[in-house]
Amino acid sequence: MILDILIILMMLSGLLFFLATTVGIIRFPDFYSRVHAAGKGDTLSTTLFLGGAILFILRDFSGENLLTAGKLMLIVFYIFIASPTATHAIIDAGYEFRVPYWTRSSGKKGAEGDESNEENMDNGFYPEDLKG
Amino acid sequence: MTWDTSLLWQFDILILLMMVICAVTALALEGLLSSAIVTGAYSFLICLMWTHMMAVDVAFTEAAVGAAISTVLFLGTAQYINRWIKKERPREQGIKQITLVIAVICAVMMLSATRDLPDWADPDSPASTHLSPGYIEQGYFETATPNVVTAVLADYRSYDTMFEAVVVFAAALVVMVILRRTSHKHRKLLHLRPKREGRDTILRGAAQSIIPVMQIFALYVLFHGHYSPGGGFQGGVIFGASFILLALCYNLKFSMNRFREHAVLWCCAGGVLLYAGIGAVCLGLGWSFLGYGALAGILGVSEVMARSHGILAVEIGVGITVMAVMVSLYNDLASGGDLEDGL
Repeated sequence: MILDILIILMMLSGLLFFLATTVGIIRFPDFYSRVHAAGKGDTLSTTLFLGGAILFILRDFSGENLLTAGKLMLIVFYIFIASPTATHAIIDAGYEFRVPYWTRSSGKKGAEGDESNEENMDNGFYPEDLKG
Repeated sequence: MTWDTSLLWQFDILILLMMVICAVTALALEGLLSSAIVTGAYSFLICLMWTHMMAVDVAFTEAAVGAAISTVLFLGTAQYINRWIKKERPREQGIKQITLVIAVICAVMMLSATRDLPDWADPDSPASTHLSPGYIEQGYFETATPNVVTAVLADYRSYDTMFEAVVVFAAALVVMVILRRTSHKHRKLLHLRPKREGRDTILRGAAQSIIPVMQIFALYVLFHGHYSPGGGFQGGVIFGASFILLALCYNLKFSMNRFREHAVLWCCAGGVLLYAGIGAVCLGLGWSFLGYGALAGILGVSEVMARSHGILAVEIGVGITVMAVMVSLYNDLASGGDLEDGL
């Protein structure tokens, strides 16, 4: 009974985080914050979801179910490594290509991340060695 | 295991709807890169669909080839093409309308033909009454291979699989000929590539923890194809993907030091050669081409086990070819054929 409630809670919070991720991707103003939302929310919600699934499988304990749970745990582990790394790589590439970022002043002009918005690019955000 | 599919028809409809949305989006988007990503999502949805239809082998192939490697290769290709579709001229508009009319006519013809197709999983359809029962009932006793898909793929329909491997091999050759023969002036490569000098510690750490497991998993998929979904194509693609991941996380030079161009080409041809060679050995021993029963004398086992070992051997051949071809395609596409620097 308690296990059931725990499973339902994990699944529901996973769903909630997925929703938050989606809202974040659509609503956040620039490239960096969107990728940030996607990376954080996806990783956590997938973990919660698969965690719920693992508990659900282990409710009736047997060797076969233990094997399935082990495989799911491996998936969780590698998502936990790969998803933040991918987010890091995407943001790093965007940083190197100088994708403009959102500031309070540029927000009023509608910073949708379009590359013609050049005034954002040169205000000390980038270290000197990347400017050349 | 019983599987009540009727419970999940809403799931089917949802996936089909999302597939249509993905297809339309992929066509409507202006950037080729975005279209490539959406195509990957489309492949993933098809993969879910096939899993639901219990065609796990096909779903596995689609997940490895369609959703993963194809997307990477599409992205590699998109850098040679203008990323944004040009505004078309009036003459091209006319051609497009003619194309639309032809496409609509073909679609109507095909849709009317689907009415003659048997229902899904119809036990009275010709496919389920003539060949399949034979494979399912006798496959295990003739080949000692519990996975019927593997037995059909690599034993009963061995010719088809051999020429599939040849097609994959030919794809690598064509890409090589086109990219290495084009002079550098005509190429449109991305002017800026991410360098990440000194900032790739995280990527390298993640790659170091993932790549060994990927390669072991690829070997497992290849060698366990007799008992579970998987086989040469899937295992080869996963193994090739591990080298692509290496090239993405370090750089192309590093991955090519690990798996040299010479070795890649030898593997490309060697896998197909191994496949055809086994067929030729069988032919030489007085059996038909790819009749693995002939290997019984060489291996010292019964004919049934010889067929099982023959399946394993040709799967290894397919795996080697597919792995090397994926690596070769990526190397050529990422570096523009000169194999010097890449994505």
